[in-house]
Amino acid sequence: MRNAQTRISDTRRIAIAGIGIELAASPGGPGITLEGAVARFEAGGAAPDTRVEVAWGELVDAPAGRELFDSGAHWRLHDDGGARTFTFRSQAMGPFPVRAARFSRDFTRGEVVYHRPYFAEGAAFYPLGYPLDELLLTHLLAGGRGVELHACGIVDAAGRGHLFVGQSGAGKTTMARHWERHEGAVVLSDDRIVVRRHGDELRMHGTPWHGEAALSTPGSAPLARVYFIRRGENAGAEPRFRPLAGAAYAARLYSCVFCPFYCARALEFTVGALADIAAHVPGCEVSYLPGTDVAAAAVALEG
Amino acid sequence: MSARCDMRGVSAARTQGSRKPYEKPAVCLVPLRPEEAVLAGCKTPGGYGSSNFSTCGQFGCVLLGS
Repeated sequence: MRNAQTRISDTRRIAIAGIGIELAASPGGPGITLEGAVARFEAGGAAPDTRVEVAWGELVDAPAGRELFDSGAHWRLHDDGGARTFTFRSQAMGPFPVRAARFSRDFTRGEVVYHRPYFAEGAAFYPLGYPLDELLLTHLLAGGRGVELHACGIVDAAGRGHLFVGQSGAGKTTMARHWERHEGAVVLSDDRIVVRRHGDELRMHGTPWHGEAALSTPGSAPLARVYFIRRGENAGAEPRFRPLAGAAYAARLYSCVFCPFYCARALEFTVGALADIAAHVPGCEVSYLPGTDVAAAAVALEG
Repeated sequence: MSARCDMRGVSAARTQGSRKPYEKPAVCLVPLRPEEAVLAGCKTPGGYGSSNFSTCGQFGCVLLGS
């Protein structure tokens, strides 16, 4: 469903965590739109890291090559030796894939093809609609650029980054809403955060992928501390912070990372990047009772 | 893998005290959620941007069997 105000164009650029993606419509292809939170990530400037063309086509049942991964739901990945192809299906639309996305092995070039018979004349899309933008970014990150975590990222009034990591239901959105009431705090995302090393510094970056609070912004901040929320356990009148370190810390991060688990090289880089975070950024478990000012306590930890 | 944890104001007593006592190695269970990790779940408009982000909004529900 498109909003009447939505701008449809031939080329758009976005940048997520400093990674540029150019979307370009092929001649006669579907129009390109940016809607919702991703529109805030539109960017111009430097040459993009990845260029993706968008076209109509007739998609067959399965692309060429061996199946590399089946998500168990609506997307699969095939590898034909020269490229990797994601296919996306919809039971509601019909037996053929709705969309296929073929990328070079380094994910710097790609093409998204929509199955023409399924759509009306003049249709326009955000061609990296869920979950393709995240799949593309996790592949690019795992190529040596960083990691995407299931986390809520908050920048305090002093510009320090607080990262609350946890799976669905951990309390990330609750934490984001709590911090929103603190003057000067900015929520980068209440559900997905990218962490990248920039020289001597580990920075956390906002993404367009948010949780129930619908909070996301393209900012970034140096990563000051990582927290794992323990709800209702060992909680007292004041928030409690229990330090985490070493393998236990890295393992907790691993349980909340998004990466191409089917690619050994990507996994090797990702595990190393998580170890880097665990070695250089203080980590802890935080437990607190509803109504206590966990944000103030977290800020106080930094002195 | 080396690690440090400088919980200022929290673990001061620990760092100022004597050597850390020996702790027997223990197995730590970390739960995984593979369906979340591989982006296999369904995201609704409330949890993932505009309706265009929602697989339900764009193509009908694509989570087979749902």
